[in-house]
Amino acid sequence: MIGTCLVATVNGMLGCFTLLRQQSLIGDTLAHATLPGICIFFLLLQQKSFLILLGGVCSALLGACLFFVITQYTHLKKDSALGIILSFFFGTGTYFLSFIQKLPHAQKAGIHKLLFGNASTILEHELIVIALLCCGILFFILQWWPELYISTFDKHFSHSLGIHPIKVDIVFLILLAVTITLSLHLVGIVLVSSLLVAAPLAARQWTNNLHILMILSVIFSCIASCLGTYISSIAPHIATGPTIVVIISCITFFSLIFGIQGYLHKFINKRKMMYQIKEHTMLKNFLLFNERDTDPLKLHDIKALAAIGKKSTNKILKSLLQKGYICNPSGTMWGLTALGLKKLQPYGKKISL
Amino acid sequence: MKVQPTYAVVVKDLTVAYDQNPVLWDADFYAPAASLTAIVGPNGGGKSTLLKSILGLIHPATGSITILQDSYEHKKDVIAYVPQKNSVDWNFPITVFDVVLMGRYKYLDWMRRPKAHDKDIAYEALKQVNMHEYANRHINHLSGGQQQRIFLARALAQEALIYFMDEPFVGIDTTSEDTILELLQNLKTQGKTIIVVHHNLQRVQQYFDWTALINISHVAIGPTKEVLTLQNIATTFGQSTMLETLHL
Repeated sequence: MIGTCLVATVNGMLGCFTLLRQQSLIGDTLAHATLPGICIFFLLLQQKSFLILLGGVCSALLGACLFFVITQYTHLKKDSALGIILSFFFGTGTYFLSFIQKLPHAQKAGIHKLLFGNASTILEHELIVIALLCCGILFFILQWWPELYISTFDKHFSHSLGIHPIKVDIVFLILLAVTITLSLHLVGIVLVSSLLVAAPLAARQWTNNLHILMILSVIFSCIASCLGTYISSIAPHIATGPTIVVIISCITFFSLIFGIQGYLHKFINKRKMMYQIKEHTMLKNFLLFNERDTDPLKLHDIKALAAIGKKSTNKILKSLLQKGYICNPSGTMWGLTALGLKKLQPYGKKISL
Repeated sequence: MKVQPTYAVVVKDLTVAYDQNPVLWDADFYAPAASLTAIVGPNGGGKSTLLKSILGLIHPATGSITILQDSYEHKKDVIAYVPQKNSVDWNFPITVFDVVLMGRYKYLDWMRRPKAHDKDIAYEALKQVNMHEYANRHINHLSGGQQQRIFLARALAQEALIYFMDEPFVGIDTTSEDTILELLQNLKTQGKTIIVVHHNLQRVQQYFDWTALINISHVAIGPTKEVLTLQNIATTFGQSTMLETLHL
């Protein structure tokens, strides 16, 4: 569980920058790029070892280098470059995997578990290595925090400060490659990118502040990872990776709908604003009627107001009555109050028939 | 005898090309210290390219660039840059104050956290551009003119000696433009050098004491009154602009 939390924390933090730098697909590409390296190192070592993840890191870094070179020195767009790299590396990895599956001790290697993750296969000494690496990555992110967020926000300004964008890109890709490789045990090659993307995406729906975004992203990532690991541990036939991904996806969808920046909040705010506009228009209609009258507080029949008003005249009049802008001394007659007149002062003589 | 001014920025024979298409060709540029200098020219004339080359954001094919008699690398701590607005991600989760605080980057200590003094300077910079009331507002909830003003505040927070501004008045109303130009003149009296890419020839004549007309190469550089002649404007922009500016 400790290893899970640490890996989730690193993913949550780095994922925020991945999201803000609009490089969400890079995580998926690098994850798939780890496969050939893992397979090659297994074929060389001929036994299950934590060192095969080193092969994954090397392979992912190679993929990152290729992506950097293709986007910097050719006219190819980022999504095309990612598509080529992902398919090439994963295809190559699958080719090596077919060799490994014919070996007698292939099942014990546990390589297939890296496809979808299984946190229960992490040994104690591996946990120590993961913990140290995660702490190292966290320390690096905190030390490089200003460079990362300034270059993400404004590349040209950061360059003028001496923060070279290419240097930041390289450092970021290295951090990403290492983080993804560390996450393979937890979520697997196929789904690790969702851990990078979903948690920050969910957090983004709740805040417009970068620090709170980081904290929420880490919290969501940890909740999903810990719950998924726990469920997977009590039901061994359920893979960890898909369980974590389903939980974090549910959190994300919930946030997209109910978050402060989410759809429902925006819908309610828009309806409120439209209603306020209708109320304001109704008040101005009173002004329109009263323009040629000496008495600004003269009463008017509701039918006259409804004739030039919008729909739901009754509802709007009742709302304005509650707020004290209009009065209803008798049945169908309505008029402005002193408070209503004061509210309409900026509009003075602007409205005319 | 005319006293030769000390130049804060000197560019000689600068050539920049994108995909073998020259954007700047053998261009010279020099801005005196403690001056308000305008770089003026048509669209695609190389004004922004000149600025970015001076700042090391673009590598020129040829030419020499010196800032305070030294290279940019050694002087970048005394330089502030206000880039064009469209280079920024406006959906970034950041407030106005945090943007201005970025200007204090070079003063960060080993903890990489801004100190109280840095925050005071950032707030003071916001007050100078009349944006202190918006300190906690998200940058996406600002008008174009307000956005430009926070970039200016960020540059002020850097406490630099030389300020480079790339079209800082795009989308700004005339009143705000005048307010900012008065602020820049105030900086000039403090001994700062301000170099601005600007389009409005009337404002240039009114506020700027040194002007460089650029169209692929330099057309004229010098005191504004001597440089902004109808002949020079026609050479830089073409005949139609000359007719429009006859009332200068």
